Amino acid sequence: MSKKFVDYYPLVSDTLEEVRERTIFLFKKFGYKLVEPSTFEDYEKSKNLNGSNTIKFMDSDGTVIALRNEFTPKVAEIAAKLQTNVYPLKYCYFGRAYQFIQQEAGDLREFFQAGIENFHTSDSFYIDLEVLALAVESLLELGVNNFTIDVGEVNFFKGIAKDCEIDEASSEVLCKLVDKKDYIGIENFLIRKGISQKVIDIFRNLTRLYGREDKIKEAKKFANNEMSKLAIERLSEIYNNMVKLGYQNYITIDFGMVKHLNYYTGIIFSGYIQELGYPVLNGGRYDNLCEIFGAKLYAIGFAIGVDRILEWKLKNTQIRERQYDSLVLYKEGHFEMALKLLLKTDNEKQKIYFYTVPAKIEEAFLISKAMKVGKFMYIDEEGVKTFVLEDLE
Amino acid sequence: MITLALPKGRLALQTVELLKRASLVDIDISEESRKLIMEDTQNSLRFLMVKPFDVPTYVEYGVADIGVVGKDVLLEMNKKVYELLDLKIGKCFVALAGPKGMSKALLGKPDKTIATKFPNIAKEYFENVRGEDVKIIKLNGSVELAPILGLSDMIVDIVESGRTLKENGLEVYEKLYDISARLIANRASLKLKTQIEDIINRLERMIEE
Repeated sequence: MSKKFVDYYPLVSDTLEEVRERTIFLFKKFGYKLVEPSTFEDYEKSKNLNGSNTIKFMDSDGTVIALRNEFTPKVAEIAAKLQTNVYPLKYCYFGRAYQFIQQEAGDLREFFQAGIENFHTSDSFYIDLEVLALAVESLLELGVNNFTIDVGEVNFFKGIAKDCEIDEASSEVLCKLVDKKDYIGIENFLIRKGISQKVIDIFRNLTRLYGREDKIKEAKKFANNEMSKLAIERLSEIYNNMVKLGYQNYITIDFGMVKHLNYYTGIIFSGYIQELGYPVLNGGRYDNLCEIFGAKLYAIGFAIGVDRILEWKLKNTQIRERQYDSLVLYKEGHFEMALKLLLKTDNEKQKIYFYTVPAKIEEAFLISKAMKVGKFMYIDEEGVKTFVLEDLE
Repeated sequence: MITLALPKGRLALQTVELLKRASLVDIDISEESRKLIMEDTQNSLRFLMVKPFDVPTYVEYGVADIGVVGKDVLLEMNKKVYELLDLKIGKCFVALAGPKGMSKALLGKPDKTIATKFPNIAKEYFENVRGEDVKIIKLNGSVELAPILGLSDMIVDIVESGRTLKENGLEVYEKLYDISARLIANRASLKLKTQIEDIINRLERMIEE
């Protein structure tokens, strides 16, 4: 059972802030502009996308509104409605999303996401490449080392399903089984449907098509249709270029990754860290979404599960709460001077602690000692004096 | 080092036997041992002895990279794990059962109560296959008692030889699913630890022989 309330204490909040700064800095470097979509969405619109698992309310006009459970549809709506001639249109975001049911390990009721979306008017492999490179760089920027971005292409599966004349409803069931690599389930399901052993073997083999470049070659054996062939070509090109960019340790391939069939239209990917059992990053190409909002735009993006990164960071890296190195204290009647002094200091790193209430000099010494700082500044009628605790002892 | 979660009991012993035959381990585990963690440093494998229903959880969180568990538990828990192999051991089936000779009367009853260790499987079966809304009582064992004492009309449970049912005056009404032990894997582990691939391949060859 996951937590009812997700509170962040100072240590975690500081780490969260750092994650925000680092990811947004990198996203901006790649040309992504920050957007701040509404927390609410129209439930009627979102329920068909990914919105069935949302927290819902009745609005004053009787319609149902929901809290966003991801950013992508909202960002796509913003992109679709904006009047511009400049494409690719690049947006990034950082914020909280909410979900009604926590289905898997690592899920929270409310969670932070950092992500990007790239909207464009014609399909290009370079966009896939940029987005994947950014995914790798984001995890590196966050201090993660032992990870992989696992990439698939849904059209490989779609092409085979179409070629084998498997209807849409069955494809949905099959897609879930393939995604779980449940070859026994695949076999049982297809036998029940009266599908030939040859086709069953193809789908069974799909569950083993994960790994590195050798799997690309292997995949070619199963792709006799145009759609799947193109999918392999795309993935192969992406893989080779990622290797050229020096990312060979951070990329793996999985032709059996399919996720949601009617949402994704091209490459899909998930980021896994060795020490954590569930993905920290999810993304993919979704060329049909913007149409719902009235614009034909190609799109690809990803979101980082910030809370999962936090969980990993807190477990696997040395994070200490920020320590103050000095205090500002004052004698009764000198509040104004003390405040002025504080405003003049460079306290960007939060190294100085302002002791709000007046204190006598003896108290100032004891307080500083208790707070384990090296020095303190004391203000009285004689002005500002700095005391080093070592000297005083 | 790969961590393997095993379900305490006979299935764990059978699995280790299988791993031994595939030359993947050379340690012995005995049923009497109270040790919860055992290591085979030579083959860089570590075993966790856990309750069957906890195997998918350990694997989903990644504290165990792979695990062995019955399909019944997987159907009930529906966790996000990869189901990689049918180990063809621990074979049995999930059945709907009830008092002998009463099947027609009980299946025709409009308001049914079902006792089971597998509430999700039972619910899914009655809702999606039979289109019925039934009352489900979750029990943790000795489910056969429920119809005898009038706690429920029928039970959904795993059946191996059928002896327990028979000795308690029950019989199988319907077979729901065939069950066998599966090798499951954590999603991140499968992608990041190449040793798992080797284990799968060797086990698969072993099973097919």
